[in-house]
Amino acid sequence: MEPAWVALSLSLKVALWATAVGGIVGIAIGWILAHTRFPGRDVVDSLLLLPMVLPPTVLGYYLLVLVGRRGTIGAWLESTFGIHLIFTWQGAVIAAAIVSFPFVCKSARAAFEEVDPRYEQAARVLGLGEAAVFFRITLPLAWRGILAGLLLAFTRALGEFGATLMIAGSIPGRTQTLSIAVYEAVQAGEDALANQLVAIISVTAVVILVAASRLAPARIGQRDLGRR
Amino acid sequence: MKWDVRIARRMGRGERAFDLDVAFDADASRLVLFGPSGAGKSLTLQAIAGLLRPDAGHVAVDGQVVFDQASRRNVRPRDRHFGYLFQDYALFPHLTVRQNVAFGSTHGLTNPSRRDDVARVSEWLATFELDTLADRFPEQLSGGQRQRTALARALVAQPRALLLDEPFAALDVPLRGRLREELLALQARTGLPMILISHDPVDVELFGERVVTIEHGRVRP
Amino acid sequence: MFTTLQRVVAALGVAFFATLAHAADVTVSAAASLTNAFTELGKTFESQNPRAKILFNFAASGALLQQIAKGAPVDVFASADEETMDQAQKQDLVEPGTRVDFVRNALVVVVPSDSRLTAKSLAEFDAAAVDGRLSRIAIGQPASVPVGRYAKSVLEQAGLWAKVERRMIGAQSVRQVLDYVARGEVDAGFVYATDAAVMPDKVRVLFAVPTPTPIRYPIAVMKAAGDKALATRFTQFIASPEAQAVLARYGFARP
Repeated sequence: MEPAWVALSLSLKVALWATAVGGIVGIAIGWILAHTRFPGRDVVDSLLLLPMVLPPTVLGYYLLVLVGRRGTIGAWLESTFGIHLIFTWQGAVIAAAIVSFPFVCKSARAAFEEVDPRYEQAARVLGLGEAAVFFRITLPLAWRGILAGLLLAFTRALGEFGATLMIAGSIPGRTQTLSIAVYEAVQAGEDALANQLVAIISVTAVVILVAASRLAPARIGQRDLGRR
Repeated sequence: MKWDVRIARRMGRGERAFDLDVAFDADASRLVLFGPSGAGKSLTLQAIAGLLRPDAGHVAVDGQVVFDQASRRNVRPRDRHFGYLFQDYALFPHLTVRQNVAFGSTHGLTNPSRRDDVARVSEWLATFELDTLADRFPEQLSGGQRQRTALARALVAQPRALLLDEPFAALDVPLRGRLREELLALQARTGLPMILISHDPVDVELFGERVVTIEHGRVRP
Repeated sequence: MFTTLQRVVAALGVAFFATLAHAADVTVSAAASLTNAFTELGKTFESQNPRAKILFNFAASGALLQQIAKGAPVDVFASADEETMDQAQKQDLVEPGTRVDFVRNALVVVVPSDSRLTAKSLAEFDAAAVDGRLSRIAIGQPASVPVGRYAKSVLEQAGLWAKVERRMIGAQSVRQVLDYVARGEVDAGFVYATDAAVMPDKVRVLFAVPTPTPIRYPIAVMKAAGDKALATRFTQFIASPEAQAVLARYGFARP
């Protein structure tokens, strides 16, 4: 398989996993922020947006220090499970998930806050437990808004470079995603390959944008969406 | 049904605070909570249903305590087994009439399918003449149809009492009369106790076996 | 004559572009392994030539070459191997007559300081790779990093390249190889002797690897240089006994 297509399939794999992992975490945290009131809630909210604002290399460095072989979490992972995240595609997924989950968290919280609480109350009175209320009422009614966040997260994960390079390195077939492959090709003077990769990335980006505009129309979080 | 209600709750803060302090004892199959808008009737009903947690007091139904602040007892809404009708019905917009009505028949993590055929559901759909509308969505229904759907939904869950918050307020006058009769007939047939909130004296006349008047958050003696 | 808005835009434009061309700047692109030595030498040169300001750009030689080839305004280029400079000459980027070798370096294998490996030659290295004590080996990307190219060529000559390549973690520069080893993320790495000396507490030299041809670093003035006289003065300074003494302190040998 040509290196360009290998890089593309790896990028997609990493981005999909990162969106799934970041998506679940982001939705959960978005729900907690929308439904609970505790002192310092706004501080937590701002902290969670930090990965969106911090330079990727800064994030990558923090991750490296924490998750590397000698880091607090990394050492524990290695001694307990024998897992070593640096230079693995799973490490790439974690880096990409961390930079992209704030998008999901933000839009999930907004979407959940738009859901009329009386629907959830009606469901409770009809005998449902909290989990059932969430999956049958809250989530379906908030879905549109969350989807917009997921798409943003996916595109962010797909383009992730700085933190990924630091954590996962640039190993063809394992962690060399499209963005990193372009960087390498340019460094090595392989212009033809660089052009090929850039073309693939551009086309992929356009396809995603078109799909996004079809799936999640611009009207997100309308008040009347949950109040027909 | 014996209703023993004694609740206190402060809503809001500072100058805009509203103090709810309602206490009454009633033994009736049709209880009406009557009073002007903003008196605190809905809050009282929500407290009985478990949708609102009072700061103090207790609620007991037929001798069974569902809320008691002193002993920290608070039965969750799903375990109180009341049917509740919201003021604008709160029909689930993403589900069809059939799915709405069948909603309480399953407590799992997935909604009933559109082709659900639990016997109880079909019966109530037929009783309220909703079977032809079963596959429509709430936004496609008229006010009276929505009210009946909401009622059917509450009844499918086999409640031990019905709590209705201004069930007729959103309907126009001719429709009100018809639905009042339907509700009375329903009660006569099922024997289901009910608490009804209304600011309309006509409802007091028709339904008020026992009437509790609430004004400014308190029961008028 | 001009409106306030036009004046503001003009002022911003001047401010933005003004710093891009400063007459007495010398932009030096140098191999990553020269980072510490050249930074010190740059300060020395500036103190001796008060008008001049040295701007350094450290990275893998291959990457630096690409920047120059694509038009980066570099005055002096110092690469970690002859091959990269040869490529620069082939692309007609080098000012004729200015190329000179200024240091020699050696290839070594380093391991994290707490490593238990004790191989003393490539053959023993090979054994360790086979029995699993060496599962990750950091090597600079051969396409753009000279130290990686040297490593690959000695491993190929020893018939070990295929085996090592499977365990290879590619790095963007020799300093990144060093960093990977220092952090313990890899079991071993190929760096220059001078790089190993930068982190004596974090890495340990396992053994030196003899290379078929000596590792010589060339420095040259680029054709696109602004002030060629000043640039040439810098390269001559680097080759001078005074600079050589400094380089020797960092572990570089005479060319």
